[in-house]
Amino acid sequence: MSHLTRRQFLSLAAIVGSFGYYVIKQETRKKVVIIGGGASGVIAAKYIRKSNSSIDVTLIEQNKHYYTCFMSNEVLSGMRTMQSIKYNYEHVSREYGINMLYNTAIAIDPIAKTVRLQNGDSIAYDRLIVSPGIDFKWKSLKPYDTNIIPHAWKAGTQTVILRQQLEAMKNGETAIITVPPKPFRCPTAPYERASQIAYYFKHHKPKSKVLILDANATFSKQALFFEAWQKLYGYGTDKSIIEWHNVGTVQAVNIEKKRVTMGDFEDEYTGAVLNIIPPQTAGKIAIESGLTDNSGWCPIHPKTFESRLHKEIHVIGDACMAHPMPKSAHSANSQAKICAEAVISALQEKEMAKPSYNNTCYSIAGKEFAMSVTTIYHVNNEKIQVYKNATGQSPLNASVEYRKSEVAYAYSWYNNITQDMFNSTP
Amino acid sequence: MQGHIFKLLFFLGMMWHGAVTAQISAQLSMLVNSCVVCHGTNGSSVGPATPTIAGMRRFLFVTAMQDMKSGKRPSTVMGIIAQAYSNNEIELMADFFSTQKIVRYPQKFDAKKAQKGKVLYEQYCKGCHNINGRTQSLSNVIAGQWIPYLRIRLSEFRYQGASSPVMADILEYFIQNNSEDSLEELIHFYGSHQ
Repeated sequence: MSHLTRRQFLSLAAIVGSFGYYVIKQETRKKVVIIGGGASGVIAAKYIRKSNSSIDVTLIEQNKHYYTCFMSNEVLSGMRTMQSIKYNYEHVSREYGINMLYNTAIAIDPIAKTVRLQNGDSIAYDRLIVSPGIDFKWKSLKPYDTNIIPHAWKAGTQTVILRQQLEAMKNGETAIITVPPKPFRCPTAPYERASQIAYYFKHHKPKSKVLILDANATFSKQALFFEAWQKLYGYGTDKSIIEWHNVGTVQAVNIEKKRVTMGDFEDEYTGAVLNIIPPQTAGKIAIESGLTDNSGWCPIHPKTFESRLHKEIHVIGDACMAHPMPKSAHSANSQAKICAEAVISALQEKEMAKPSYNNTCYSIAGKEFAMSVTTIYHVNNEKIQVYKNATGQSPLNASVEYRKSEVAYAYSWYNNITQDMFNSTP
Repeated sequence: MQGHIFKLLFFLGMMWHGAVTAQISAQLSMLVNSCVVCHGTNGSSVGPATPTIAGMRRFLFVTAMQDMKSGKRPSTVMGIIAQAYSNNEIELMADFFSTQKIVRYPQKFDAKKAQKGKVLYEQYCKGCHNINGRTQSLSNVIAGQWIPYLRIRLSEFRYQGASSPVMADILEYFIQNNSEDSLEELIHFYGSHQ
């Protein structure tokens, strides 16, 4: 001992100490299970492991591949391929030591603290994070074949179907997009979608039109979209490629005639392509596990995203009620990082760091035309609120260069957020 | 014996110190985790336009945030985002990002332009923005920065130069003696470093 320098002693002590720590931790390793590997689930898994590798993290995900909803509207216009929005979990799970379980969670037992899988297995957890995304409220509509009337509100096969239908349209025919009542996944996406389809029509089917039939009287970035449509697609003139009408909700769908009945006045609209975006709720597992309230979404404690209905279960992403944060990929990313810190703190019985909430959302209305909205939030009186004046949108009537730079920033946002999720490129 | 007690106390002290640092680092993580969504892992962006902020000069990081907060420096979303952060939080972010290693990702560039740009670089830029390391404490490393970002930033210096009158003057001088094309060649030269 006397031959050791102080530095050597300290190194030795640290090695011995951490070895002992490792042995103890092996026996009492805390287990976190996460249901759903989307924009929030995979981030929660990665950031828990990144901050604390002594916690065991299992991610239950149905698919080996993930197609991002974000940027999938560009597939509809032909600006992007499906391949460019396709990812897998190999890199992120290997680099961070996340246990991947490619399976479907079918039930949660909040008392026994287990998750049951489709294959009959049961997984125990100390903390559960539920990030199932959205499901559709078919109750309000008679079921129909979504291979014929696609929603394309979950990216993948549905996106391909809608793209193929748009390609098969004749010049002069109409595509209809119906927008459900708020709240729904990605509040600006229906209008971005209409813009992207209009971009495709402008260059390939100039006599065709996109008709937006909206259940809502107003929408996010409305003035900016109107400006974009006026500048790019003749909005407001009789030659406009885009029309927008606030006509209430879908009452009935006629699948043979490609006809929708809308609103209290039961107006009928027919199009060559019908893209019905159905009304939405939290994902099925959240509803069946009693994590939702009457609204169909999951109430949470805003600082920790722990469910208000079941202890030790957290809900993040589109399924949770985090108003005024929109249901977006960026919100999901932010919520997941806060939730990761909340879960680590709870398991270690330490005080949690002050959460930082943010959202940035880009909409690409044309090849060189994008606009953004960005907001920072904080918790005040147990509620998520906009932080002072840290909120804003792109200015109206911005220069051509400004709109073009926002397209470059939109792509950068996409590349970096997907890198954050998957530690890899498509 | 006294020596051993000292060592033991020192060791316990180190453990306590470790616990405290972990707490600070949870707060720091919470802050910087918000930045990396757009600026990339540890501040190295995968592009094509959001700049890499890893390895920025600490002082310049703080200046950039404060100038965007005050509106002195033009921006799209950063002027809004910066509103939410206190001086102390900005300092913490600066501590973190200024000490991160820059990771450069390949990007497309025009080799001919880059070659021409090298001559201009030697003549005009090298003194402050050396590609082989730092020579000036007040300049950022821009080798390998994203080309679309360099274009946007240089345009800001030229037409909305309030955030750096020095760069505005230098660019005016550069354009007088050269051309718009030569500025593009410089951008390709810097972008070619991967």
